[in-house]
Amino acid sequence: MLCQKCHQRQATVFFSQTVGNQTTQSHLCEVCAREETKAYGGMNPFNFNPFAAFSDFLNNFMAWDDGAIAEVNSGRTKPTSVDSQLQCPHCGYQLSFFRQNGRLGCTKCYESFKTVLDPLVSSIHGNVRHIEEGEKVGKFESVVPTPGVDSGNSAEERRSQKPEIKALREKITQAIQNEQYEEAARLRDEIKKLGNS
Amino acid sequence: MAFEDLLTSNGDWFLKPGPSCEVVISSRVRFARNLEGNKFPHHSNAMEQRQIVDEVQKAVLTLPQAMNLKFIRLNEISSLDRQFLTEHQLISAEHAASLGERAVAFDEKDGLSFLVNEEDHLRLQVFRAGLNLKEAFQYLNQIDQALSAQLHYAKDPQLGYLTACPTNLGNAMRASVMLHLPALVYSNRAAQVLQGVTQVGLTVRGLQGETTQISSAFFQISNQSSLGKKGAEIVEHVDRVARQIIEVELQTQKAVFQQEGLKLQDRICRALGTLKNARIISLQEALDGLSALRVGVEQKILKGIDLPNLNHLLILIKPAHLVKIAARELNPEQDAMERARILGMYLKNAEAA
Repeated sequence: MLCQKCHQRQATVFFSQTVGNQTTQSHLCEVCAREETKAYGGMNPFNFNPFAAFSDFLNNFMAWDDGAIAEVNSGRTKPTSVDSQLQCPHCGYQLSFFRQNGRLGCTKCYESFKTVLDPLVSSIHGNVRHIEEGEKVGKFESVVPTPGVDSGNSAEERRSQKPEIKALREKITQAIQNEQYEEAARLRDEIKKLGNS
Repeated sequence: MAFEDLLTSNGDWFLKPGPSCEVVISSRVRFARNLEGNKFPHHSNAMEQRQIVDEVQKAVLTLPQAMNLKFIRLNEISSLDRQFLTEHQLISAEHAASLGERAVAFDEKDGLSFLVNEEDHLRLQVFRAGLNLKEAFQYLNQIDQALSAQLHYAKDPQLGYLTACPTNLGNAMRASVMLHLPALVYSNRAAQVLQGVTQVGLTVRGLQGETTQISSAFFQISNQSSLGKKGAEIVEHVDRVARQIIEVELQTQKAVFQQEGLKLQDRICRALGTLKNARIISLQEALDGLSALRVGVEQKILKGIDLPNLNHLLILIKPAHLVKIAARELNPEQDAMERARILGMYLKNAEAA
């Protein structure tokens, strides 16, 4: 089916839009669908209902599903009809079922439908990965020099007690508090130089 | 199977006044877990589902908490009992309504329950009174770690715990807080405040789950995504947002009482009159009345009733509970009569201070 707006590209997105009490539905290509979404900005700011948030989220999620699949299609030139017939070899679940109910068939489906799911997961959760409860993810770790930790020798420790190093270290703490990370990195290099002198 | 004992021993967790209990009814933390290589419940046949139930049961029974756990297969109890457990928040409405082999293990006093074959193979959850997500999280984490030694959880280094729905990936955790925001609703500010909540990555729901309108002053807020953050961070975030809402609610309460004190006292005392003396009362009217009574207790306008008892009433006045109390089937009118009777009984000592 061709896009009902540009009549040129394949329609891959089912677009449903409600203005006032009128709902229009159309089959669009990904490009036109993006333009339509941009034009209406997603949410009507004059009629906010806090409870709509969750269903909106799910609707967006299903819409994104189409978008994600469109992306996969455009990248791999695989037509939608074949794509939605994708099946998990482990449990027999079809991608089209997922598009209907938002649920996968088994834990292996995440591998089977990886190309479709990865972009979808990023659109739901942001471009992030799982973080373990005990994992250290401090972003300043590489910036702040920790005396004695890398080398552990006492000479290094003595050098780090130099008053000018102490002052620099305080400046680093200050810089980090002010979120001036470049400045903090510069100060760190200065400390390194002094430490080696 | 009957659960009459649950009527009188509404869990310790619920009857103790928790932190910030003047605004927060309860805190809940829930983890979703699945067993590696298995089909999710909605895609499994009865035999596959039963294997999961057996496997989870075996693991759950090795826990130190096992002594106090009731393990129940939901297709072996009546739909009334399932509804009763739902009203008690031990299982979800979806869990109660779905077909197939599913089970629950719970310790009601501890606010702890394990839902087997709901949307995921296992959902473990714990409730605490008031705003107490941190304790709930630590406790559930301990239990989860003990279980992970018994069960082979499906997990991916990038995606975290694999769940039937990709919205739950990551640490597959929901931290939610049930709030009572009467002043914000009264002053028409609830929608505005809750809109702010949705903008910081949280979801808002009504008392009965995914309600689509403001039907009472009870709201539940919870995190939307659990991928890319530690559970402890999510708990911290939801806790912080809840504290901000509590502050706004209490400030608004103060302000509206300064401006319209007498009018509000009148409302509260009338609500008490209605709830104490009605002979037929709907669930909605009862919930609205209880909402007013909570404010009356907080503002010391009423005496002879406390918040934990009002919390208890929120559950007791629901349909399956009323049937259990009456010990017979109730048609809709009898349901409304039984509700009025229970309210009258529980509120007999309540009066204007």
